[in-house]
Amino acid sequence: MNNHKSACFVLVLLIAGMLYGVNSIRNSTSDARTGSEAARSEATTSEQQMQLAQIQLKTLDSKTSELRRIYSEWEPHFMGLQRQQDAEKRVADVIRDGNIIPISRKFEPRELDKNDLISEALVGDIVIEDDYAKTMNWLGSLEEAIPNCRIMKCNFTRGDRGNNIHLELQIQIPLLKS
Amino acid sequence: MEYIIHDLKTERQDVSAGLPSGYKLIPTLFYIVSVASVFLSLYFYASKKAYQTSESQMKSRTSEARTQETRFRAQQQGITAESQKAEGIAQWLEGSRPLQPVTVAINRSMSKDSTIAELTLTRDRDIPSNTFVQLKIDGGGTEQIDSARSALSSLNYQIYHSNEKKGRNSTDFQGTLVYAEQ
Repeated sequence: MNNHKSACFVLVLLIAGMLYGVNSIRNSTSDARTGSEAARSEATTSEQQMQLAQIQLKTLDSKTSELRRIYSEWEPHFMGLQRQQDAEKRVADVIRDGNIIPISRKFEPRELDKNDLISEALVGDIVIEDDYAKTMNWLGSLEEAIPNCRIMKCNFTRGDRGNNIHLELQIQIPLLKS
Repeated sequence: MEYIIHDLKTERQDVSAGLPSGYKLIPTLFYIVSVASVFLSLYFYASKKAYQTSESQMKSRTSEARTQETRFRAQQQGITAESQKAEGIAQWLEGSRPLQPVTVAINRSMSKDSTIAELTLTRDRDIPSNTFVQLKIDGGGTEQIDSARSALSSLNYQIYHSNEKKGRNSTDFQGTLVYAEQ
């Protein structure tokens, strides 16, 4: 092999090397493009899911806004009476403020439906015999002071004296677990 | 072709025989491939960089979108939990409508000749929004019961399963009160 042929051989090797190098770069570019397209597709999907979540959130927000408004209005009444002692004290305060002397009063916690949000309530049995107007006003003020209190039973009969009435009352005050 | 190849050589005496004509294509091909390699390499390199930049931007968009989605989902869960609580509270409140106005309305509906001997209001344990009313009136009669009914209607209560029993000098009335939203 003469020098020219050797030089040609070297050139062929260099050409092959350059072609190999260019092809390697092309392959890596192709991989980068594939990666970029996959990332674009993933980004589009993620953005669509995000928009879907945003729409669902807005729908849920508008659907439940009235319900949640009621909740925010009433929550303090429920949260203020989470313990039996608090509820008993509130009733005692209303009795004291109404200047009523009950014949008897008895409180005991009772379990309601376990699956419900309000699964426990303080049940109070109160017996009062007093002036008609005073008793009626007291009943109104009880329902006003403890608006979430549920009167389960009330029985009015004539009292022993002139304008008196005899009231037997059973109330339930919800004890909301936090 | 000869010119191109000759041009690269310095002026000197040939020491070996020239290349066969077919071999002369190799240097030409070398030049072309060299130039093309440079341009193609630059082009592919620039493209690769652009794709890598794009990929990193897309990953950043993906990450941001996922963060936002997680935030929205968390807000949804919060709203759902609050709504469930609100439903429980609303259910309770539905069965906690004040009864004092009912008793006052019934009392006020009595005429001079009638008195309430007994009034009992009992909430239904299963449906607390329904209240069972039992009323015993001394004196009066059907007219008095009608007056009590109309007093209850004015408070938006409807009376179902009502029943009247007239005695010698008294009238018993019972029924189920259901509040009707206006």
